[in-house]
Amino acid sequence: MKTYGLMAALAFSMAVTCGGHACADVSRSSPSNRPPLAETGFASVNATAQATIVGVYSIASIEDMNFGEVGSGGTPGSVVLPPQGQRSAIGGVTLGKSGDPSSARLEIRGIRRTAFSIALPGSMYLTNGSNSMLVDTFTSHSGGNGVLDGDGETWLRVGATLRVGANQPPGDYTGNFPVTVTFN
Amino acid sequence: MKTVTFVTAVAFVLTVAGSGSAMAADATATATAAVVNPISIAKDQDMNFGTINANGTDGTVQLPTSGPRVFSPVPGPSAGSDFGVSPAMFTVTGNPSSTYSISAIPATSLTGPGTPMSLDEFTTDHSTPPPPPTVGGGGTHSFKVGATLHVNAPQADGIYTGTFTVTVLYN
Repeated sequence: MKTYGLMAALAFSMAVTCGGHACADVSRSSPSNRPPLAETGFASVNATAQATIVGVYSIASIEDMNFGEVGSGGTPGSVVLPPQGQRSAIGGVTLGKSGDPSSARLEIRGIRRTAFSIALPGSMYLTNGSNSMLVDTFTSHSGGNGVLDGDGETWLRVGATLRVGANQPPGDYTGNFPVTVTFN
Repeated sequence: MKTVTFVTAVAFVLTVAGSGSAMAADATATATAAVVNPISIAKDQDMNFGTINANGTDGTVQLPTSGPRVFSPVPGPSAGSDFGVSPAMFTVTGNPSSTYSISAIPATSLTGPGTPMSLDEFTTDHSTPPPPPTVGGGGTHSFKVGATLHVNAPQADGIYTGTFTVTVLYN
């Protein structure tokens, strides 16, 4: 009796894979569950901020001093403009009805409840071309000093006396005068 | 009579090897990555509160991202010249269609001739959430920054300056 063995050789090939792509080639693709490296990161920059502070203390003219309409005659005279109240005439001047006379009104601001003293000029001139009139005896309603209120504000009224010459040429006479406030 | 008997015996032993078995091998691989379009930020305009009347009272000046300054309380610090008033402005560059966030900007102070003034409560004209600002089609996106300045009583006259830092990050 003969026995025959039969053997078959199966030849086959099999590719080795790692999760669907070539194992040794990691640089070619990235797994879908890792975020792209380009999406990470932060950046910073510095910037400057600037502010300019002015006017801790300030004084502002709210209303100009105005002697109103004044009539001049053959003799000199004066117009007295008080800080509060009506004008009055002395000597050879008359008071006209128009012209809106008023003492000067100023607003002072600063740190609340600060006391201050006021300096007014001794005299100055109003001019109209080459004609002029002297203004003197400046006075303020609170005397030589005052105090800011709880909001850091107060107002100031200033009057003066206008010296009108005999036959003072008609016209509008103007001038500026300084008011100095010194805070304590 | 002869009988021939064929006996066939076929035997296969076939083992299929899965990953990580006898096929395993050691290898050293190099991973490289090119980072493209990292986020960056540039300043286009510094912040400027303009001129402020201190007026001798504590208070705040709010500089919004658009519109005039807001002063508080009244009376209190008030508007001087608005020449130069501007919120800060920045441009972000990065991946088009990516979104990014602006980190909270830390408080700082302005220094100058007098007491330092606090600068805080920064605001931007793009807030999160939602939606966070998107780096637009051209890969850039701009935004403005405002803040609130705290004025002291008294606050000495002069120019005060300070620095603040703005940080942006991809989401």
